[in-house]
Amino acid sequence: MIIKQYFNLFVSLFILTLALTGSVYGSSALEIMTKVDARYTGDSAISDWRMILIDKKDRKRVREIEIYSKEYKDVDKSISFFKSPGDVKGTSYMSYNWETTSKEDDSWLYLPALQKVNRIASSDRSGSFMGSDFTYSDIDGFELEDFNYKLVKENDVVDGKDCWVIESTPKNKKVISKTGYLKSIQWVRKDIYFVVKNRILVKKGKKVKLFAAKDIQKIDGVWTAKTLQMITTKNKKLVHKSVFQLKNVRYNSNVDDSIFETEVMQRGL
Amino acid sequence: MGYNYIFKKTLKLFFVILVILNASISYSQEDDFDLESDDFDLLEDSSFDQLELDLEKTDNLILEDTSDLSDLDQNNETKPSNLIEGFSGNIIQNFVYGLQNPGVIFSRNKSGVERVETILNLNYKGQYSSQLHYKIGANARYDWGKWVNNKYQTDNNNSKFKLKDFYIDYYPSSQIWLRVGNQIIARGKLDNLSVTDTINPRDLSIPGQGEISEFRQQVPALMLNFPISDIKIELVLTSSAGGNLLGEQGSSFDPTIPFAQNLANLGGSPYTINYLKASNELEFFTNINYTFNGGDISLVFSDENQNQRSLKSIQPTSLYNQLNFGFDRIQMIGFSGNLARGDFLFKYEGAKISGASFLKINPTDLPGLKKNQNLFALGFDYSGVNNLTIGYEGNLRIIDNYSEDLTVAKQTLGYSIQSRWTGMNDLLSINANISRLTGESSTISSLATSYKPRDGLTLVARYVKYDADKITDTLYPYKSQDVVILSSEYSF
Repeated sequence: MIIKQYFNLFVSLFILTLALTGSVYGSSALEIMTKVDARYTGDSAISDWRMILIDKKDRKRVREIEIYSKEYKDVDKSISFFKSPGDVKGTSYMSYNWETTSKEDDSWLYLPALQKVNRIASSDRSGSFMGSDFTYSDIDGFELEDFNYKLVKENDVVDGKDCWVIESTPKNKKVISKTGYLKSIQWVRKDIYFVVKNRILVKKGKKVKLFAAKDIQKIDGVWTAKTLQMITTKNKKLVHKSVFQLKNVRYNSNVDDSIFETEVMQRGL
Repeated sequence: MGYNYIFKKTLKLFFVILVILNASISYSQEDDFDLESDDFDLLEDSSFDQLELDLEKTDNLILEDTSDLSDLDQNNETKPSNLIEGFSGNIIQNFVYGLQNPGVIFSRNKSGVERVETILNLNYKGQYSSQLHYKIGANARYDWGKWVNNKYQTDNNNSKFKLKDFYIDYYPSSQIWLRVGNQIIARGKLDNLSVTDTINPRDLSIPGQGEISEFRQQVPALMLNFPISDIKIELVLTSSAGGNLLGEQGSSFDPTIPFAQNLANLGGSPYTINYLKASNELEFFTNINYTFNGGDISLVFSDENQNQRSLKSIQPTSLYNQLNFGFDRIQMIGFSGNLARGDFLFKYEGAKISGASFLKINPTDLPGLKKNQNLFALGFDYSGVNNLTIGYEGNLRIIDNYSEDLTVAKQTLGYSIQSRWTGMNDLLSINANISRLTGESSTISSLATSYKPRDGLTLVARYVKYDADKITDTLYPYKSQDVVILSSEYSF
C-alpha cells in the first residue's frame, strides 16, 4: 500500500516536472524569438546586394539589387530595384508588411517590358523571389505570432558562437500556405539574438532548405550578415542554391517616405 | 485527322490536366498537413535529432567562404546609386513558319517560311540633374525576305527604324512627376480584355504572336502625376497618337481582305485603304487612383479618338475603290480596380463609352450608326498551386438604343484564359492562352515555352492557332494563318 502511494507520488512528481520543464522551455523559446524579432535592425536602410543563383551543375547567374526599407509604427515598407542583368534590369518589387495580422500584406511587381505595375496576390509569398531559393516570405520577413516555438537544444556552436536551437511550427494551414514552411529548426546566436542557421522543411515538393548567415558585423550599430545563403535540397541532394552578398549598406539614412509608391517603381529613382 | 484536330485535343487535354493537377495538389495540400491527424506524426521523422543527423550530410553544401564568388563581382565597392541608368536593350531573332495554305489572296499562298526578322531594341536612360531624367529608346527591324511571286525571296529584304521611349522626366518635388515625350502609359487592371487601357494604340498586324508588351505603341504625350491627400491624380494629354497598327496589303492579316470579300458592289475592282487624319489630334485622359490595404480603385475619364479606326466611306474611282478609314471621337467614363484576397487577385473594369460607330448589315451603307455602349470586364489570377498561375478574364458589351440593322449583337461576350507555369528557378516557363474575341466565335490560342540557358539569353518556341466558324467573324479570312515561332532574345 505504502509502496503504491510512493509510486503514485513519484509518477505525479515526474509528470509535473516534465510539464514544468516543457512549459519553461516553451516560454523560453518564445522569449528568445521575441527578442530575435525585436532585435534592432535600423529605422531605415539603403543597401546594395548581389544575388548569385547557382544550379547543381555549378552554373551561376548574377543579379544586382538595390533595396530601400523603412520601418513605420504600423508597417514596414521596402522597395527593391533590379540593376542587372539585362533581362531583369528595371524590374522592381515593393511590399508593405503590416504589423497587425488583420491586414494582409500588400505587394506589387513592376516589369519594364510591360511598363505596368501589377499587384500580387497577398498570400502568394511562398513563391520564389526572382528565381532564387529565397521566397517572398523570406524577403519580407515572418510574423512572430504565426508560429509555435520549442527550445530543442540549449547549447550548440555555429561558427564558434554559442547558439540556442529552436524549432518553429506554423500555427495553422494559412501560415503554411503563406510561407510554404512546414517546420524549421533555427540556430540563434545567444550574444546578439541573430538567426545564423536555419533548416526548413518546405511544403512544396517536400524539399528541405538550408539557410546560413555569415560574415556578421556591426554596421552603424546594427548587427548585419554580409552573406546570406539559401540552399534547396531534395533527398539530401543539392537542387539549387542562392547567395546574397551585401555590397554596401547605410542604416538610418534619409529614406524619403515618397519612394514607397507605385509610381517610383515605374519611373525609378 | 488534321493537325487542327490534334491541336484542339492537345490544348483541351492541357487544360484538363491543369484542372486535375490543381485539384489534386489542392487535395494533397488539404491532406498532407493536419495537426490533429497521424499525418502530422510523419513529420516527426524530421524531428530535431533526425534533422541534425541529416544536417551532417548536407551542411557541407553551405559555403564557408564565398570569396570564390568574387570573380563574378565586377563592381564590388559601388555605393547605392540614385538612378537605374545606362544602356540597356536586346537583340531578338524570330523565325516564323506558316503551317497552312492561307489562300491565293495572301502573298504567302502555301505553307512555308512566313518571315525571318532581326530586331534590335536599344535604350539609354540618364539624368541631367536629380530633378531631370531622360530616356532615349529606338528599335531597328530587319526583314530577311518577303513573299513575291509565290515564293519567299531573300533578295526582297528591308529594314525599318522606329522611335520608341523618348521622353524627359521632371520632378519639381518628390511627389510630382511630369513626363513629356514619346511614351507608353499602361493603365487598367486587366491584361488582355482591358476596358480602360486606351491611351496607347496597339499593333494588331500579327495578333497573338507575341507578348502584350510588344503590342502597345508609344504615343507623344504629356503626363502629369500628383497626389491630393491619399488620392493620386494623373492627367494625360496626347497629340497625333494615331490608331492601332494593322497589317500591310498582302500580309497575313491584311485588313482589306474582309472588305474585298464582303463588299459585293466592289466587283472585281482593285481596292486600297486610305487612313484619314483625325479632325482633332488632341486627346485627354484622367485617372484618379486610390490605393488601400488589399486593393486599388481608379476612376477614368477620357475624350479621345478610338484607337480602332472605322470605315467612313468608300470612294470609287476609275482605277480602284478607296476604303476611307477614320477615327471616331469617343468619350469614356469608367472605373477599374483590383482586390487581393488569399491566393486570388480579382480584377474588374467598367466604362460607358459614347461616340463609337458600328457598321450596318449592309457594309456599304455608310457611315455606321453611332451608339452608346456599356463595357464590363471581370477577371482573376489564382496562384495557389506550385509555380502555376491561372488567369481568367471575361467581358460583356451592351449597346444602348440597339437597332436591328447593326452587324453586332446588342449584348456580346468575350473571354481570355491564361495559364503560366514556371520551374527550374525561373529558367523554364510554359504559357497557354485562349482568347475568344468579343461577340464572335473567333478564337486565338497559343502554347509557348521559354527557356533561359544563361543570363540574358531566352529561347522561345510558340505555336499560335486561329479559329473562326462564321463568315462574319473577324478572323474568318485569317483562320489558316497558324504559325510556329522560334525566337531567341539576348538582353544586355
